Amino acid sequence: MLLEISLIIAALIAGMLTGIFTGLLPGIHINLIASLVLIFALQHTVLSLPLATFIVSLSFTHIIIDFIPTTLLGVPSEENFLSVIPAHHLVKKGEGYEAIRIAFLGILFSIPLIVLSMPLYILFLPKVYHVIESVIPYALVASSLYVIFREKDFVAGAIVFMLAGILGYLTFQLPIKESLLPLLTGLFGLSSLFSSLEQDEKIIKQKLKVKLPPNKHFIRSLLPAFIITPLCSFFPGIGSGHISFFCSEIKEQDSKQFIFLNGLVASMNMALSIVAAYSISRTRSGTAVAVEVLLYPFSLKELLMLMIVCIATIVVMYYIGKCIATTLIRFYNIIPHQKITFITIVFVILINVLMTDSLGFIVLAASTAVGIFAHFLGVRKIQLMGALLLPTMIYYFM
Amino acid sequence: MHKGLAVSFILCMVLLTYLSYCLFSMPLQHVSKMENLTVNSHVRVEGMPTNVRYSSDGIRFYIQGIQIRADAVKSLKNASVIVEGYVSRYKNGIWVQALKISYAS
Repeated sequence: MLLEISLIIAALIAGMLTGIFTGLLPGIHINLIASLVLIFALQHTVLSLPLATFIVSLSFTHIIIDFIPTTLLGVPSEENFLSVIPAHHLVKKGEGYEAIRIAFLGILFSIPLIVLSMPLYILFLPKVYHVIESVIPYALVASSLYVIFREKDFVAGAIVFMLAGILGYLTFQLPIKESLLPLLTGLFGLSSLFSSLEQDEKIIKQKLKVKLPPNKHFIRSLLPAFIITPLCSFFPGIGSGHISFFCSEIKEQDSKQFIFLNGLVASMNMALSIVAAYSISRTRSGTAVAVEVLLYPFSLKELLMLMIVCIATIVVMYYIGKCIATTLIRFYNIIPHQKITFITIVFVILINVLMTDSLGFIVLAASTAVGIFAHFLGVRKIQLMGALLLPTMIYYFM
Repeated sequence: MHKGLAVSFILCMVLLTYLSYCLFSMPLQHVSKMENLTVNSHVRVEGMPTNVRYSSDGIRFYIQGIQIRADAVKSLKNASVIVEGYVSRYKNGIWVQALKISYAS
């Protein structure tokens, strides 16, 4: 028992340290680490719970720390791509640190919502899921059409959605090693990095002394997040970006509220994907897949244990994340933006060379081209989620 | 901006065409025994499904000792099927992940 607790604590700390690394380095996705852990787990089945703890701790740390490069470099992941524009707006005013702190605050505020949603998920979701399951393909079509028609130029939005969708379909049909890595890195990461190279080289000093808006400023984001996230988080292909978008459609949000909302939804969505793996055996994230495989059959005791890990990680990383952000902003204030961007591009390409194969590299080039095309068309990045949504729709309808 | 738009569009069309070509020209290996399975290869298995099991996460069955898994929950008729998919390896061994299941004419 004592050994097991020690192993779990060690896994929690190791998960946090690895999550800091993966969160700071653009292009490294949680799914990649989860799949590596699963390969390790094949030989060490006795370590199932510590390995699941490691993955959960890593995932939440990654979500938190990921907001730092997203804000400062404008390199988003598929979870937080919608917060790039409001965050960049604040970076231009020297308020990048404030944007990061607001995202962290959103993640911290997700704890009570996770605790409240969890019993609802466990008690009611298994009873209603068979009804919901039959409407999933239609809901996916409806939500995609809604997002396309909300675009200023919906024809451009539809073109980008279809191009990303075709690319996603081809990627999933071809035998590509770690196929999600080049696809998502190109669509959201590399394309944003290349697009940011055309920006002004002038360093915008980021203020480190900030006064966050009062908590009541963010209260209006809580209710839509509490309603929409549990409803959408088990839908395949629908990520935190879509959920944040739908929440902001219910109640209009300013830049700071939207960043807060995005942090809140990303964390809540991840936690609920793990709860859904327990309650309906449906896995909607790499983390949930890894946890379900490691802990099969998944017990309530183990789920509660993982939720404690999730809360502990959020609280600890909220404070550690602030220190990391402060340190990095000091460097950011002295190093030219284009130099950082160039180094990041080289690093991201190197990661893909190491982790994927030649076809994966073609996917990386194609996804980067689609992302840049969307940027030049002035289409919102949410349309790029067609890469996951269109293949899911094809799967359901064919 | 127009130059960037045109270049990125041409580039993505060329690369998408190449990926489509790769998909359609991919060799499809017909396998009939467990020993012939190589991880990640694109295979075609034909025969009568046995030990069909449905669960919340899909369907599983065997054709000549080869385990087939598909995510979609679809009822199978009592007839010979053609399965096209990829060979995968997981915790419980090696199996074919079905991409397409059709009935043999």
